Amino acid sequence: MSHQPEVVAKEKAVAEKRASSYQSVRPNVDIHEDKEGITLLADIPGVSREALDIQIDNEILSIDGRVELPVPNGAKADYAGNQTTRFQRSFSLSKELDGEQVEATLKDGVLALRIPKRQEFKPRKIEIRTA
Amino acid sequence: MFARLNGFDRSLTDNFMHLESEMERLFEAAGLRGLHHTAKHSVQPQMHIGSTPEQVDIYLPVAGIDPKAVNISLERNQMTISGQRDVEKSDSAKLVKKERFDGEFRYQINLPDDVDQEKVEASYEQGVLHVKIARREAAKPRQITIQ
Repeated sequence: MSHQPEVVAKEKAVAEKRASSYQSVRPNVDIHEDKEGITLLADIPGVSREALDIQIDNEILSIDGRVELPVPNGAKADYAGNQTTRFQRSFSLSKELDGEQVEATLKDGVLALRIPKRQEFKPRKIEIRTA
Repeated sequence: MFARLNGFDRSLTDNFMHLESEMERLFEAAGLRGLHHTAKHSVQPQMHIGSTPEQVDIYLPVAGIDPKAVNISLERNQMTISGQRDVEKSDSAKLVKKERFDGEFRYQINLPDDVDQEKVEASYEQGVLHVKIARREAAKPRQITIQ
């Protein structure tokens, strides 16, 4: 059985653009899909747990994290590649994903979101009764 | 497509966003979706270097690496930071979207001439590599008192 729905988390362009500003950056993400659900990994280096806000509203998942570098007082910026202050990105979740059951972990600047599929969309094995 | 951008009721930001979505639409129509995508994602956080008379601080955002696998060397005033990042792979899962960097990285940074080779400290926190290099005493500005 290889028929699997294609994309389960689609980028939500409208919501994201409304929230974005010049200083915000879209974090790069990987999305893995398996039979039970999806795992979304996002690179958000420099964002602490406290500075990270993840919301699910109306099947729209939004990630918003602020970068806080412990720059010493009075430091002169010799080279600031780009003054990133914020990571922002939104996705629209497909109906088969259960937004109520999201698990989030943050380690070394990588955010991992595990979103399971709703029970009725998980593959079930049908027992064949012997006649 | 430009006719729609002329409305005065739209703010500049709105116009910009509108342009972006128009671009997206055009790229998609031309079958270049991937290309536009890559361009949009090329803006990623870069290195930040700051200095005080006492030290130079380098902040390099590299999420999800093993700090033990990072090599930092300082030769005269040239610092090299290299390492490798291996992103998570799975046999049972299908990769629906792949944007995160996977592989080796290498940065070469020219530091001020007065950095002290002996006093280099590095730490890794929240996916940001922080290298602190002290500057030599003699190089620090001294206040001369007039008698």
